[in-house]
Formats: sequence, structure tokens, C-alpha cells
Amino acid sequence: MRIVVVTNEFPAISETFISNKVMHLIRRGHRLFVICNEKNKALFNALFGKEKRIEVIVLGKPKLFGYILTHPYEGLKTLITKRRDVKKTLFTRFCLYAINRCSPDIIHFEFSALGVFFLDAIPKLKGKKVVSCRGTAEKVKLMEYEDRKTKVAELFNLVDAIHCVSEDMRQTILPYCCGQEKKIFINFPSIDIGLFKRKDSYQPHNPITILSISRLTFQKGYLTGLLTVKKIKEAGIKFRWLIVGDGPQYEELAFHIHEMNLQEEVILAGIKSGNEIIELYHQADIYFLPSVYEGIANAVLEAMSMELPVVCTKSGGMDEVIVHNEDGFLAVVYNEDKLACLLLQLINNFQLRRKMGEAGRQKVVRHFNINSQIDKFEDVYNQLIGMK
Amino acid sequence: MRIGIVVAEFPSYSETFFANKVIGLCERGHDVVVFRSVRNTDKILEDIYRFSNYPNLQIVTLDLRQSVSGIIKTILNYPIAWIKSFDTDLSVIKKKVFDNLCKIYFKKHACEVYHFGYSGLAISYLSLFDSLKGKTMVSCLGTAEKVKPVSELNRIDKLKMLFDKTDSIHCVSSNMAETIKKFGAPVNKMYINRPAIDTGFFSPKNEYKQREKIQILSIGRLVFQKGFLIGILAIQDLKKQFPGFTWKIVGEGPGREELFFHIHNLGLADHVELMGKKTKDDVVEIYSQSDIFFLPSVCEGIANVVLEAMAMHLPVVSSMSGGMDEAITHEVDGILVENYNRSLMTKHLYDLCNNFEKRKRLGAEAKKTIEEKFSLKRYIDVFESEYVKLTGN
Repeated sequence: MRIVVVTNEFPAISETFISNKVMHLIRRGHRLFVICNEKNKALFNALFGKEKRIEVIVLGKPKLFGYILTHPYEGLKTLITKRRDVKKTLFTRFCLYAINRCSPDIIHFEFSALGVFFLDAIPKLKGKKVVSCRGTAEKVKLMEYEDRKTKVAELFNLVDAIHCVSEDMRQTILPYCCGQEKKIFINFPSIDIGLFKRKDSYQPHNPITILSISRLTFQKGYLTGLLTVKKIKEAGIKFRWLIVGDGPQYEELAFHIHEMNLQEEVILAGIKSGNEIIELYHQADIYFLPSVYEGIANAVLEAMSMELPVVCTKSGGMDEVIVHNEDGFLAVVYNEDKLACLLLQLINNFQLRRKMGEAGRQKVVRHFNINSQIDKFEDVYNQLIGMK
Repeated sequence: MRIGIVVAEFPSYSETFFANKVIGLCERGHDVVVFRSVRNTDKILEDIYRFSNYPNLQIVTLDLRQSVSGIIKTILNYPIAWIKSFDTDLSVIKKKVFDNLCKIYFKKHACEVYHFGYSGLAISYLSLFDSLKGKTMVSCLGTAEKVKPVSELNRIDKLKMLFDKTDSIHCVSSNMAETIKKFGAPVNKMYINRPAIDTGFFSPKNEYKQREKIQILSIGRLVFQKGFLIGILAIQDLKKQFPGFTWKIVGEGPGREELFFHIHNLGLADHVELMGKKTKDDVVEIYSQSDIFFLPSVCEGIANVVLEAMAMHLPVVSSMSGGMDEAITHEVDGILVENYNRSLMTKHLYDLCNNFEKRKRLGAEAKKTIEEKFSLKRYIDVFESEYVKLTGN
């Protein structure tokens, strides 16, 4: 099958799920084309090396100029017929050209926002179209901007299948589907359980270490998280909380940490590589996700796969992953009292932590394993092109 | 005296204190030159302040992001500044051109004192300090001293250099003075001048009355320093105990999307309204329709909006951020709550929602406090005497 994956940056350090998916599809013998706006060359070489079945196409100015030079007629036609939106029209034609040149069977927009961005080109694309609904675009932007609602509805109308990362996401987008509900399929995120596997048995650390990994954005609820750990400090517990990642909220968080006098306990560790992250999972006792909304947090799946007990908010589809009190703890969003109470329960009980961590690993192995996720995508793609 | 005021945007909606100060100094017969790096062409603001009425006021724009014709003009007028700025790196050229043009503008409009409105802004002009003929003064108002030193490497060193170079340092509160002492600001250069407001303008037209539905008001840029998420969480709990209120938030800023999300995510859309930015006249009207003013900030110098609200006879529930306890005496002319303590905020809001007499009493005391301690007259007096001290006039 010839599959076009449309994404932002590729490969992106914070979106490993896309590079994982691409890699596994290649391994199953498919031909992959990644359309993106930026290529991380170093990471690409590390991940894909000399792999021949993948082509990365960066839709940037150099390519656009190349297109105009090789297609002067298109450029001229646009200039004459579409005086008003020359730039936009030309870009759309250029995208169409770049994608159709791959003669794709499937074109998968990895974010609905990208689908909206390419909206004008979609009707003329060859191949079946799929769009993924993963989080921000559906949870925040749709709530806030009226014109986004009509555009998303139009997008859902134009594509052949709509991928949701959770049942919660399906519920979120239903109001915009207008008769297109049948196109929706749920495919949970997943991880490589061979990669995220402990090297040694789960042991306590001193001081007890709480870990969070994500971009520093408001969605991740770090203010709630800080209010939570402040309570833990007030309870007289010695601990540290490692926050891995960077983002627009860095300044805000650094300020809160200072203002709440948590400099000793909370460490903003910055961006870490894949290997470093696996090492950090080994050094941690508990994984903590104070998010205010999520699709499904991949980092939680990784942590569970690493046998870490997880405390997380009931944001997005997290309660489709975790059964409270069995393979993790769930608390109402924004509720620092409850979160602190659950963290304390784990901090004070090593056996509970270990038991919960083991149950978490079992859950991920059974339900969130990359192979079953790729199976599902392959199935859907096959159905779309009529192979099944 | 000829006084230079260096600011970023001028005039602006959120920094009315600069405009008030400029007008105050002009009215006392000083020549004032405002050096701004961002031109604001908002008609409404121009109509409010009517700067053209002050012949002794000059506004100089140091904005290089203006039109192409503007840039060409500077090339024709000051070719040497451009030639001097030659470099192979475009970003270096930009910085050099800016510096060289600023030097020319500062020289052309020579002042006896140059007062930089923010320490952050002063740092960006630091390389020009030696070329300035007049004395220099820097204001420390909030974020630049409270947030940046925590989040930005080298900021403390830069502040140290700045405090070393400048001749005088204006602190917005004693709390600020304590903060910058830690960064090596010399005590003999510092003085405190707390903000002030126009009590003639911010004055209630009607008596403070009981209304059917309580209206809580906050005004501030939508930035994390204002602690609106803490406020939203406090309001969420208030709603459970006392549903008969609305909370209006006036202001605009980069945090809008985030706040909008929190409000909807917590099911508070019927109780909380993001009003966007408003003009001074609208704001007075909104104050007079409100019952309680709420400031959940996590970082403040001294919040001017609280002073305005107090002048408008409103009881205030404020966090103890920055110098807020220098404006409010707890349970006398307002309520102070520990920073980040949302449950205490809920408790006090609930208490006030249920107690008209207390609201009225606090508001009346607040109005007195402002009239006695936070009038514009005192504010300009202090600046004037500090300028005189510096220049020896």
C-alpha cells in the first residue's frame, strides 16, 4: 500500500507516536510518504537510517519555488484567474501536486487541524482520506472558534474515515459529525512494550521520585500539580518531582515553583532524549499526570509499561486506560486535595506501588501494544481501498 | 525641567499610569519627552488623553518596525548611523541601527533626566547609558524583577549592571525594594513611590447599594501573573455554596484561550464572563455596577486596578502578592488572602456575598484610604522632588 502521512514536524521528539506508526507500517512492507513542514534530520537518520521505503517531503519555500519554476503555466493561471488569493491558491495547488505525485492509496492527516489547513486541497486528492482527532484541536479550538466548527464539519464530510484516540474523543466530535458517525473508528494510542520494559525489578528510591513528562503547556495542568505537591510537602514528606519537557509555560512554572518555595523539590529538567527518558523511568517511583485535558496521554502508557504506578486526572480518555484502584489512580480534574491524597497513599505504601505497577504493565501489554494498533490501522486502510 | 520618559507602548490601555504621570508633569510646567518603542495609533486612546493639548509634550517614536518609507527616511536623514551599523550579520545590523538611531534621538531631544519605565526596558538600552548626558532613573514595577530573574539565566547579572549604572531607582512598593535589594540594588539610590490614581475620575456617582445578584469584578491582562486560574477554582467552589453571582473579567491577553477553556471545562460559562478590553469610561461604568472586586494575582507590584476599585467604594478580596498589603489593611479597608490559597478566597468571597453591611463598610474605608494615601498629587510630587534631587535644580 502507498500511504501518505501528513504531519507537522517529522520526526518530532514529542510526537513519537507518529514516527512509531510510520516505522511499523514500513516494516510491514508498505511504502510511506511523510508530508511535513519541517524535517528533523538528525532524529530521522537515527530512527530510519538508510530505509528506502520512506520519503519525507517538506512543504517549504524551496519546494514551492521549485514547483513554480517547473510549472510556470500553473503559476500564470493562478495569477490571472485568482487575483485575490494568489498565495493561498498557489499553495493549495502545490500541495495537491506534492501529495498526488506520490500516487497514494491512503492519505492520513495526523491532526484535524492539519486537515482543516489542507481543506481546499482535499476534494482533489487521489486516494482515500483519513483524519486523526487527538486532543487540542478538538478540545480547545472547537470550543472557542465558531468558524472552526464549520470547517471541521466540512472536513469530516470530505474524508473517508475519522480516527479517534478514545471513546471520549468520539463523544467530543460527535456534534460536528452531522451524519458522518459511521466514518468514526477508535484506535487507542499504543507503545512499543519491548522498548518500554524494565531492566531491573521495581525498587524504592530515596527520596521518593515523582515523574511527569510532557510539553509545558496549560493543558498539562502543572499549576494543579504544584498545588498538589505543595500539600505533600506540608504533610512533611521528603520527595522530588521531576518534570521533563519544555514549552511556553516554562516561565510561569519556574515562577510558581519559586513563589511556592518548592525549588528544593521540583526540578524542571528540560527536554530529554528517548534513552534518557527510559533511564528516568527507572529512577522514578510514581508517575503523575495532573492534566486538565488529554486525548490519551502516551507518557502514561509508557510509565505503566515501565511498571510505574500512575496518579492521573480523569481527563479525556484516561479513564478508558486506567481502572481506578486497580492499575492506577484517577482523580477529578483540578482537584489537588484528592490528587495529594492519592499520591500520599502510594508514597506511604511500597507494596501498593509495586502491585499497581505490575497491573499497569499487564494492562498495556494486553491493550495498548503497538502491534494491535498497527493491525487496526491496516484493517481500516484495507477496508477503505476495498481490499477486504 | 526637561524630563524624558522611556516606555514601550504609548499610550496603552493597561498602563494608564504612564499617561497620568506624563500629563501630571506637563500640567506642572515641565517639558516632557516620551520616547516610545511601539506607536499606538488607537483613535480611542488618542481621544481620551488629547496629548495635542500639551505644547510642552513631545512624543518620539523609536519604532523601527514601521513602514518602508519610514526606514528610507531614517536612511536619508541619518546616513552615518546606517553606515556605522554595517555588519555581515543582519540581526547585528538591526541592533546596531536601533542603537545608533536611539543615540541620535536621545541627543536631539536632550533631557536632564531620562526615566526608564521598566527595568526590563532599561536593560535593552543599557549600552546607551554612557552616551546619555542627563541623569538616569529606572522604575521597578513587577514582572521584570519578580519573574525574569527566576526564569531567565543572566537576568540577575543584567539587573546588577543596570542598578550599578543608573543614578536612581524607583520602587513601586517596599516589597519591591526588598526584592531588588537581593539583586544588589544600592539602598542609597532607591526610593519608593507607590502608584496612584485619579480620584476625581474614579469616584462613585451613586451610593453603594444592595443588588439582587452579586457582581464580582476583576480587571487585568490575561497573563499568568494575574492568577486567574486560581480565581476560577475559587469561584467554582463559591458557586457550590452561593449560586447568585456573576464574575466579570475585563482585559485581554495571551492567556485568553486557556481561561476560556478552564471556564467551560468547569461548567462556569453561566457565571464567568470574559469581557475583553475596555476604555477608561467603560471601566468606571463597570466598577459602579459591581459589588466586589477580586484580585487572585500570584505576582504584583501594586495593582492599580485595586486602587481604582477601592476609590470606587468597592470591597476588595486580594491575594497577598507583591505590595498588596501596603495598599490594603486586612479586615479594615479590604480583605487579604495568602497567595494561591483558593479555599480562603472562596471563604472570604462567600462571607462578603452574604454580608452587605460589611461590603459597604470595607468599601467606605477603602475609599478613604485611597483619598488619603494614593492620590495622583502625591505621586507626581514624589517624582518631581526625586527629579529635582537628581539634577540639583
